[in-house]
Order: sequence, then structure tokens, then C-alpha cells
Amino acid sequence: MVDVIATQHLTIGFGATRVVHRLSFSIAAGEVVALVGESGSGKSTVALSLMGLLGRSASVEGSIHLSRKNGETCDLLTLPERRLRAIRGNDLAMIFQEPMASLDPIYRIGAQITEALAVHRPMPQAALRTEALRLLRSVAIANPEACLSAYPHQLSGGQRQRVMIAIALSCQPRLLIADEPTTALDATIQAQIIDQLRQLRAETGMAVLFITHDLGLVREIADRVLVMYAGRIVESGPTEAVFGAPRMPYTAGLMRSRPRLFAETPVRIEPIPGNVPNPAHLPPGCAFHPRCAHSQPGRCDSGTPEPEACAPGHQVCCLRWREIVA
Amino acid sequence: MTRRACGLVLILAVTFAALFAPLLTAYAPTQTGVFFLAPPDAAHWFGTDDLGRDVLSRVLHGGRASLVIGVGAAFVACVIGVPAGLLAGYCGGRVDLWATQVMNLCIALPGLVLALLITAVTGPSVLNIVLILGFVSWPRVARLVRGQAFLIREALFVEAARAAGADAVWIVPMHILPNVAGVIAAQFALTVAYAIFTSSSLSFLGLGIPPPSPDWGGMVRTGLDYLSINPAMGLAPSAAVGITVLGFYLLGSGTRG
Repeated sequence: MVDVIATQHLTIGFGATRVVHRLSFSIAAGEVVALVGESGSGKSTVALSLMGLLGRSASVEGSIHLSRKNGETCDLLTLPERRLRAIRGNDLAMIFQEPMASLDPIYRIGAQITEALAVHRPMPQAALRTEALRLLRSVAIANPEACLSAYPHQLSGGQRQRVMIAIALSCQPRLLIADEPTTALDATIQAQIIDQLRQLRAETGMAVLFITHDLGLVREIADRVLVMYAGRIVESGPTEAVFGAPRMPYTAGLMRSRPRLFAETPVRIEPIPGNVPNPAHLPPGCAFHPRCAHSQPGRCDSGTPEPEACAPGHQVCCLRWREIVA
Repeated sequence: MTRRACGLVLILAVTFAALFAPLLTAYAPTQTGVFFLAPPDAAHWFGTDDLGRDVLSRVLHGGRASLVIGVGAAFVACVIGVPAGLLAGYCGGRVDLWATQVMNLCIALPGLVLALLITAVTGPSVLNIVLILGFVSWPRVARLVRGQAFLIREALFVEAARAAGADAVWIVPMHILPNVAGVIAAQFALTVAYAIFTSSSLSFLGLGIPPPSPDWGGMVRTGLDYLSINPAMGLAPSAAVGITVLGFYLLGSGTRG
């Protein structure tokens, strides 16, 4: 399968502080990859860097190779801003966490849905309207005609997020980056939106990078999981493998700290002690060792673990993963 | 009634009076008569001035110049101030730093003194006064627009537009400007009030529209000398300035709040 996007040693810093360290991952066409981790682990920073929206205060190194719809492959980090704009919204689309704030309050939905189309492929008003209706239907909005002429404040949160998805889909992107798209929504709406995303993926064959800290959702939607901690990917692999047999103590901790409604025997939620470290003062060695029950003095606090394959397609960053398994 | 509605009513009344002045009075504003400094009576509601002209007619006709100057100056202030504010607020960084310095410098100079100085050099005419007062008022507009643009630039919907591939040339007119429009409208009305008041002050100091055109500030100045003979000669134009400025002020502050 062709990789839609592949990063190599992606390193992001703000001033002297590095928040993302040598991140390498790839997403194949039609694949849903979940990026999980606690707040502050650098997930959203990665998403914005893929879009090239980090701003001038960030320094980004490494490479991000995107294979475009027109067949060309380019490194997003070396492209000039003018060419990046042609890619944003067109090959790469993003939906944000807050559907409330992502729509301009003064425009009707119809005008906003076709904004990306209007930017990338100018066409007559009537064609834009037809396209807007088609997009609204594709995200299963009830009564799309009425929705076209509604203002954002007249829609519910779930409707707004559907509209945001419709906007993101308008140019048929190769990769959709969804940054916690359901965090601000009710659980029932959340399930509908996830279903919608899954269905759209099947219909359009686009790849999805799904950023979340909700592990239940990951299991529902993702083919592959990347677990981030303190700016590094500490474990990655097929969803079933990572959930079934987490190798990195941090991933295992995340699993234990998630509420399980339908467990056969009642399970206690075990939070991971401590907090995500400040990126300006990362602990030496493995960044997770101060919070890790398995850390060994003299070993985990000195050597930085490199990714190792523990099963086909399943990589882990832990010096002791073999011993912990045994 | 809300402040905005009160302001609108006052403005409409003043505009109506100025527009239809010839129909509302029996005398032309420059027509002199034989009765000098007559106190108010049925024929001359506000009496006559030192040249025998009807004060009511002069007050009504004088509204035209004041309104033109007020609206014109506010327009000039917005034409300079809005783009400057948008540029500073949206670009930020060094552009913002320089633009803010220039604005602060202009705001630091007292408007009336600056206007006096420039008028004294260029000479008074309606066009000159409009340009001068517009030039004196633009920094306030720019500062306000800059602040709002700064806020809206950070809004998620602007980020979303950027993620859709839009550039500044698209985002500023399509997202920033329409979201600042309410504030600009409010500041426009406040600037009209300021310009009318300041132009009247200029006229009062002798740098207004040259006579014999009726002009509120100038009428107050002359009326002051004859306050004990025909008080209405000075009080009527003062009241006209007061009502007009109040109207625009209420409209502006009501829109903002």
C-alpha cells in the first residue's frame, strides 16, 4: 500500500524547548491511525505541524513526505507557503476539537461549507450550492436545505461537527486529520460522528489521523495506534496487538486507567501516578521512568530507549520490555 | 427606548431639519433685515442676530456644514484607520510594533491643538476641515480595529480557514473585517460626534468655515458678545451642537454595548 504521509525524525521545538522528538511514522491510503496520549504529550503539535500551521515561533526539523492527489510526492517542510496553501484543504484537511468555535458566526453554513472549494477551485454560485447540499447529505445532516441557510448558532454541537467534517471532505482530501473531534460532544452524538467517519473512510478511501485521549474510541475506529509520551512515540502497532498485549508500561498504564463498563469481573481504575513532565525539564533516560513501576535505577534513568520491534509491525520504546513480559 | 434608538431619533431629527431647512423657515440664512438683535418673537422664533439675520434659519442651515464635516471626517478616519488597524492586528510582530508607535504618537498630540495648527497653515474650508479632523481621528479607529483583529485572528474559525488553504488576502476581508464591522460602525458614530464638536470648537476660535455661511461654532462666538441682548443668538447654536453630538454619541455607545 502507498503511504499517504510519512514523517522522518520530525522534531519540533518552541524556542529552546523541544516538544516533539524524532517522530517517524507513516499512514497508508485508507488507513485510520490513532495518535493517543495524555494532554500535553504533543499530539496537537504534531497535527498542526503536518498542516504547516505551527507559526513562526516553532522550529520544525526532519521531513514530512506527502503523496498528493496528482501523484506528486513532496516534503511539506521544504515547500514555500504558497504551495502549502494549495495543499491545505485540498490534499490535507483538518477538523478541530471545538465545533462551536470553528465556524465563523457571521456566515450561513452554505457559504462556509464551500469555502475550501471557493479557495481551491473557483466555480459558479449554483455549482457551489449543489456541492454544499451533496456534502451535507454525505454527513447525514437532516434537512440539508434548511441547514444551508442556517447560522452556526442555530445548530447543535453534533450538527456543527458534521458541518466541519463536510467542510473537511469538500475537496476530497487524501488525509483527514481529526484533532479530538468528539471531545466536546455528548456520548451519543460521539458514536454517530465516529460511525460517520468510518463510513466516509470506506466510501472515499481517505486516510485518517485520529487524535484522541479516549481509548474506547481508538478501539472502535483505528487500524493502528501510535502512543505518544512526552513528545515521543513510545509504542506503535496494530490496534488489537497494542490493546491485547501492551508492551510499554505507559501504554499498559493507560489501559488500566480507562473505565471498563462491560468487564466480566469489576476492575478498579488505576490512574498512572504523577503528571506529564514539563518539556523544558524532561527527566534523563526514558522520560516515563519517574512514573513507571518497572523502572530500574541506573538503567532507565540513563539510557534513552530506541524503538524495537517486539512483533511484526509492533514497536516499543522500553529498555526492559523483554523482562517485563516475562 | 434604548440608547441606540434615542441616538437615532436625535440624528434623524437634526438631519431632517438641516435637509429641509429652506422649507422650514421663511428666511434665507444670509438674508439681512432691519431689526438687529431682536429678541425671540412670532416672526423670528430665536430672534435676529447683529446683522438682522434670522437665527433659526441660520441654525437649521448651519446643520448641513456640521453634518457634512462630521460624517466626512469620520469617513476619512475609517479609510485610514481601518486598513492600518487590520494590517497591524493581523500581521502582528514588527508591523504591529511600528504601526502602534505611530498611532500612539498621533494620539499623544492633542487633537484640537493639532487641528488648530494645521488649519492655521492650510486655511479653513469644508474640505480642509474634513481632511484635518479625519487625520486627527484615525489613530483611535486604528487602535480599536487592531485590538479586535488581534482577537479574531486567534479564533478557531480563522485557523480553520487557514487549514482550508486560505491566505491573508482571503482571510482578512472575508473573516476579520466582517467580524470587526460592528465595532467600526460604533466608532464611526463616535468619531462623527467628536468631529462635529471639534469643528465647532475650531469655528469658535475663528478657524471655521468663512462667513457668511452659517456655522454653529462661529454663531456661538458672535452670540457670546450679545448674550445679554438676544441670548438665543448664542444659545440656539450651542444647543444644536449639543443635540447633534449627543445623538451620535448615544448611537455609537449604544451600538458598542
